Amino acid sequence: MRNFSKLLSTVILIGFAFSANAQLVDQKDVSITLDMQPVLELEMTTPTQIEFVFDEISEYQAGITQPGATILKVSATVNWDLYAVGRSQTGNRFWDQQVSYGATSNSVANLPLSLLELKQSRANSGGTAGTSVVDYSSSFSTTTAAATGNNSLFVNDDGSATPPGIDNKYIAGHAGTTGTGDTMTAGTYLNNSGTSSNFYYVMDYRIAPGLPAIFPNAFQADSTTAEDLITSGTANSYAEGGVYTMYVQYILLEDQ
Amino acid sequence: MQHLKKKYQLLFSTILLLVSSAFYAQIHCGLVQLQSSATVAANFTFTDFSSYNSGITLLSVARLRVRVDNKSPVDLDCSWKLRMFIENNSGAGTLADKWEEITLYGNGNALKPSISDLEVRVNNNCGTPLNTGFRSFTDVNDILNIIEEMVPQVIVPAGSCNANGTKNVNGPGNYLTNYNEYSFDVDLRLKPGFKFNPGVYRLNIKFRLEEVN
Repeated sequence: MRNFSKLLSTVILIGFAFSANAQLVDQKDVSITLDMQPVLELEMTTPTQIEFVFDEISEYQAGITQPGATILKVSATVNWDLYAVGRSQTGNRFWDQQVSYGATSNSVANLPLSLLELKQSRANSGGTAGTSVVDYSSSFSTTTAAATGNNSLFVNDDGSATPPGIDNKYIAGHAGTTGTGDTMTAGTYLNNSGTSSNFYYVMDYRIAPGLPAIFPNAFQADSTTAEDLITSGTANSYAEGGVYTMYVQYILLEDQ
Repeated sequence: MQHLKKKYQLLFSTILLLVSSAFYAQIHCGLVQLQSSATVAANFTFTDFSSYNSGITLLSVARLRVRVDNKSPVDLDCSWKLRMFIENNSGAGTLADKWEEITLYGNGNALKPSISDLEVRVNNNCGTPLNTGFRSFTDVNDILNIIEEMVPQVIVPAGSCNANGTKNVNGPGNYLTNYNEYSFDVDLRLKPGFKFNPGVYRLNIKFRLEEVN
């Protein structure tokens, strides 16, 4: 009898529990898809051609500077690096000689691309992982000072556009993906304090041939190995008079 | 033997009584129906900086139409509530506060978008929801009320909407006779900024219409 009472109580309890939850319900769904496509944009304001004409001794001695010739504006939805690399049509590390004004036994027609110096308006805030000179933010050295590779343009040995290594220069960010000292965070110049932001760079250019014209500030990619015409060539070498061309490629890429 | 038979008869009667009460007890309305287009899919596609910066707002991605009929004879306790739930396929390992990752486009930032970045606004012409602005879910355990269950129960009948801005209309009625109170527009807004990994992500919002009992 006692067992039966227990069973009856249990059935009643369960029944009440079910009846308490009974209600009419209807339901509809809205499915939401978020498609965030990666965007890397490098906006560049620059003349199509920047000319350095050396026709006076003072220009050879003091060099020619083209201030603010290029403005780089970055927008990225991913972490990014920005670098400049010197290139030429012949695909090696030398300028293309378009016209020679006369070759002599000591003149050198192979002028290194690294003789071009750059100066960026803002230091690289994401390049502390670099082991040598990390950017082009140093002021141009005076022509009477010792030669320096702080501003010489990065060039690959094979003339390619391969990204710089850990001991080479970037404009922003650096080699590696650790996320510490080797990357710039996503963002855009549009909402980052304009010219004082890490997304906006003004680039100055300088060529200082010196006298004789050996380009003392030409250095290899590591910024420490001199590449001027005497060091890399022979004594008494100097630049052959002529018209030379090259181009600087600015490359914005996802952090790598 | 006769005694045992009586006991089983009593048990059977009790079960029958409870089953029947389960069907009818606590049910105050005759019909609760939520209508919307067959499948509602909202796509946020970010392809340029202006959209990343300013965000995208999708207006009226869904229109919910409520129909709640009273029983016959009329039950004075018939009322309803409308709520939102969110899903991110958490059974597959998605964190409770993140969007479900479908695919990635690169190896950029490690951050996945958060559920709280999605903003939802549900409103009707009468503004009967208690909260008519954009709101966010904190995670999949969050529930957002559109028409709330009041404690103690307060039933605001259909047709109460007037210039005074009557809120929480929850009595029997339908979108055919009281469109401004029984239909709801769903707006979505998302402003991702630049902190998330590019890719395709997914969420699902469930709108549940329930009788209040």
